[in-house]
Amino acid sequence: MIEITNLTKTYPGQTALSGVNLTLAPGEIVGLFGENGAGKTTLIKCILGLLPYKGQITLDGEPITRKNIACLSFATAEHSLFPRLTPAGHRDFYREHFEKFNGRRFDGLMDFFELPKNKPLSAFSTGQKNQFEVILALSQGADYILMDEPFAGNDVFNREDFYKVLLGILEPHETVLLSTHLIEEVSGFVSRAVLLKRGQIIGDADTSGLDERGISLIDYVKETYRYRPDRVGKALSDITGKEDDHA
Amino acid sequence: MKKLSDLLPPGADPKTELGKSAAFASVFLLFWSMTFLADFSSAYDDLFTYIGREKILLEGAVMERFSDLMEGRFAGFWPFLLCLAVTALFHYLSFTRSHSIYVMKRLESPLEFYRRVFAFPLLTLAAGVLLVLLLTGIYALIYRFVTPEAAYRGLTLDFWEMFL
Repeated sequence: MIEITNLTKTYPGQTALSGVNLTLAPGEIVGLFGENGAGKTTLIKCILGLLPYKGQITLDGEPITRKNIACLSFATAEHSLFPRLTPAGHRDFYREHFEKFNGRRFDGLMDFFELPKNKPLSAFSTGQKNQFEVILALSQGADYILMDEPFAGNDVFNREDFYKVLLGILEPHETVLLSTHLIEEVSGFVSRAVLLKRGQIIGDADTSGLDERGISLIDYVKETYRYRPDRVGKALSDITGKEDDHA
Repeated sequence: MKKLSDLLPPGADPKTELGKSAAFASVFLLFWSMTFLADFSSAYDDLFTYIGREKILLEGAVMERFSDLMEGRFAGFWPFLLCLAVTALFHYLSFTRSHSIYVMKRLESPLEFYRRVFAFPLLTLAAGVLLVLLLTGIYALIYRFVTPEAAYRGLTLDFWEMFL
């Protein structure tokens, strides 16, 4: 279990995260939602120890260090790949350095996405890099798979296929924390939604609970964010001087 | 024993890296050796005079000291060191620019990252030091055995002055 207690992260002149408390239990698929600058990426990077922070983050009661960090994997739209290495080279590197590397899953996903195995990553398209980034994160053998906007640049069919495959291959103990803007797309995939706004958690709900209440994920997000549907109409009316027909 | 590719950023071609180092070493080897031989032969020629075609050792002539001949000989070692530092920097940047440093930070051993950044430049440095020692030995042998006995002044050497 990952436990985040009173996590605060500040950049010069700006507070990115403020007193965040969050627990990620084994087997959860958690959607992390929030507007740009809400602190999603910062939160994930703090968990991974890529950024210094105040507060406490533990994994199964222990601080996250080199000893247990292999339990976490990371897929990011920034791409954490070795550009001159081929996928086969990445597989060898991961197999050498991550004890629980799942070669079968790696090969299966490579075949599914029809990615070339012997071409350097620098020659891949952005979409292919996204796919490969996710393949590595899923194959590392980590219990906690952290994904930060992993599908930015992929087409909708590709993403849908991916969600289906992901649901099919995840083991019951594997936890996914998925930061994305594609709320509607992942609504059938995540089991829990965590909403960040200006560095604070403003919502945390089980999707099954929302279903029981008859609330869709997107409505929950809009409600929690106090989304104002008349905002667009008012703006258009102000700009064009015409009466609002869009409300 | 680690493979050479394990001492470089993943994906870097060991043959290319070795080729670059060998080319670099060859340039220094040639430059140092040619300048030494030119200086040595000039000092050697100063020991003699010519009567017609006959070459005669000047009376009381002494060979320039070996330490003087070697002074500043390997001053090119500093640019070489700078190149190695730049190589290490490029290795480091290859991880940060590609964000693959995120992967390196998830490895159990932190040494893996440092090895892939610094090991090759340090090995090249060791090879460079060996080359300098080897060349110094060869130059000393040339000095010892080519200098006429009467003009020979021993093999004193200030190690650091060779680099200044």
